[in-house]
Amino acid sequence: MKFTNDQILSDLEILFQDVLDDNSIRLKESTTANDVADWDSVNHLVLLHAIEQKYSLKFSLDEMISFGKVGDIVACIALKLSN
Amino acid sequence: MDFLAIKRNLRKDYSSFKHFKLGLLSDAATQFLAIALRGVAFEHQIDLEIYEANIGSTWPEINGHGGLYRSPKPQGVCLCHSYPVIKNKFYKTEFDGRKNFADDFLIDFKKRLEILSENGISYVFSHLFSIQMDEVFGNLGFQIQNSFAFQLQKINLGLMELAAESQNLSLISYPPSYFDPKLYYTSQADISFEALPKVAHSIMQTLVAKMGVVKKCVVLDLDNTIWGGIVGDDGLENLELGQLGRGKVFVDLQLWLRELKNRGILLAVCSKNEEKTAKEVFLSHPEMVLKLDDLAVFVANWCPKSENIKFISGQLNIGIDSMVFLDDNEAEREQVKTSLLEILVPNLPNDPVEWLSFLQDLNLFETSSVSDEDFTRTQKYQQEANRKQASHAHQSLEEYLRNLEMKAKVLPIDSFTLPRVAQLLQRTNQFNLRTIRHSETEIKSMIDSGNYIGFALSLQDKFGDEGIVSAVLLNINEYLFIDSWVMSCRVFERGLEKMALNLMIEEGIKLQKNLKAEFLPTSKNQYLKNLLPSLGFEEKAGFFELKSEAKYFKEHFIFRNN
Repeated sequence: MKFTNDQILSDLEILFQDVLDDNSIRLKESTTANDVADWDSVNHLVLLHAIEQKYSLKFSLDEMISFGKVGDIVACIALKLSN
Repeated sequence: MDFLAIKRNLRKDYSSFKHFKLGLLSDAATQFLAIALRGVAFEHQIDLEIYEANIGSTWPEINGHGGLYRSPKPQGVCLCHSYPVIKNKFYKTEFDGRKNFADDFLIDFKKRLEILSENGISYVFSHLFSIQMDEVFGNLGFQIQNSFAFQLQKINLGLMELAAESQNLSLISYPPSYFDPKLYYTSQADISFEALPKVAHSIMQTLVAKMGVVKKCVVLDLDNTIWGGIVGDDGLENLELGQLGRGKVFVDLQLWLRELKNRGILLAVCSKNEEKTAKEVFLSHPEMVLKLDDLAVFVANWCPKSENIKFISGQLNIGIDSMVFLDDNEAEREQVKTSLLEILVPNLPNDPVEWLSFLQDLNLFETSSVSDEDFTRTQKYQQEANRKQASHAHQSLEEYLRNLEMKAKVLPIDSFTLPRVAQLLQRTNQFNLRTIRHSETEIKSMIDSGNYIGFALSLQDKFGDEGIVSAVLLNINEYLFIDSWVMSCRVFERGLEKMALNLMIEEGIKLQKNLKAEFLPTSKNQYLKNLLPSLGFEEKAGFFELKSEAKYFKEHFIFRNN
């Protein structure tokens, strides 16, 4: 199955809303942790764990550190899913 | 439940639950553990408040240089050790010093326990290390004192020995491969998301047992639950038990149930069967492990199981919430679960082969102490059933009580009686005047302080010996204040509370102080609602008072035996 970046982005929006318990969260590729109230360093790892579970994939340590904005995460997921 | 599901619990309403404050000290990051603990606490109906210390600040916190002891002071502390931190500490130790690594760790650990205890923390939770070889020596590590594997094993054994001699320390084990390097190198948290639910459950289970919420009874279905097949249809000789079919599976399940019974968990039968047919299996099947003697109550009829379980709870005088119901039939489980919300009904897997490991994995029978009393509990409940029958045969209550030929011993609270007294305070719900669950250490220091006196009562009658069934702790101040008064539900309606009262009045006369009492109602001690007035206490401003005078002695039919 092929995922478009838009699909992944809207999946992530729902996932962020669930993990951070905030239905008002809207994600764009340019969204960073500064734009989302509860997206702190603790929740960052919970979010990545939830993403790993959802797509049955694993991020490398390198990738986890490099994520600056939502678009980075989307691109990384898209790349892993296409392989 | 996975970590995300547990995290969702945090949004739920905890306000009706019992509150417990836990200090969380670790040299790893604990943010995720704190989330898991609070989330899992919802399942255990505990409103868990966590004081999370800064990473690596265990020692200053314990010594009072942090917020740990700030009000409200936690009742318990959880001491965690990070596997990589301890490993690096080991690697930094000079080779020759490494053989003392475990001893040094344990001396340090013991010191921490002592300081926590001096600061009034009664419950300490910690964990064993799961053994992961560092393979510096390969398998030879098991034979070399200076190896990490050797020292880690030694630490584990030492921790278990500490826990065995201390009433304060409870240990859990982490699941194998709980350590997630990626999580550790990104956050310094050492427990993986996958392992967190299990670790949090283990900690909460020991904590809940310490708080006195324990399972006391397993209610068993028979057909296709403790043996394979249906005795009424298949006949006794065709049951799967022992060599036949999956018979060994059921034999092993029964062996485990018997071990539970031997350690003090009551077993009861609740089966849709003709009583005679069902009992026949216990009497004549050569491969049955469980015998009728192992069962506290046997109910076989065609009534709804929820009704029968209510009956069993009444017979044994224990709460529905302390019962576990095992049945292979999903419909029966649903019927019981929906009618009795408080009972625990494990969802047994379809294949009986998996039941034993499934049940063991649930760890339902956590307890904070084991006393001699536990080993004879079933027998005592059976004696009680005989007594109930005898009571029908007698004319008046007085005559019945006289006919029991009751004898009681008044015992001091000392090293011999202390474990049982502490256990009574932990376990007793119904006859528990203030439900303050002092630990063994607390009771000892209360008595040692000279500000408290206390006694325990053991009771026997012509049907058997109940052992220690009641305890009283009195605080000596302007009055003689009843700090704790508990009595096992097994000896209700025998007048033992009157004997206890007379003993308290005697103490009052000796010390020239009147008695003062307080009733703190809970959902479980309504039995005591009218106790104090009925014994002659007068209510004054929320408390109850009784002058220590001989005219207030109550009549009872128990002979003092010492």
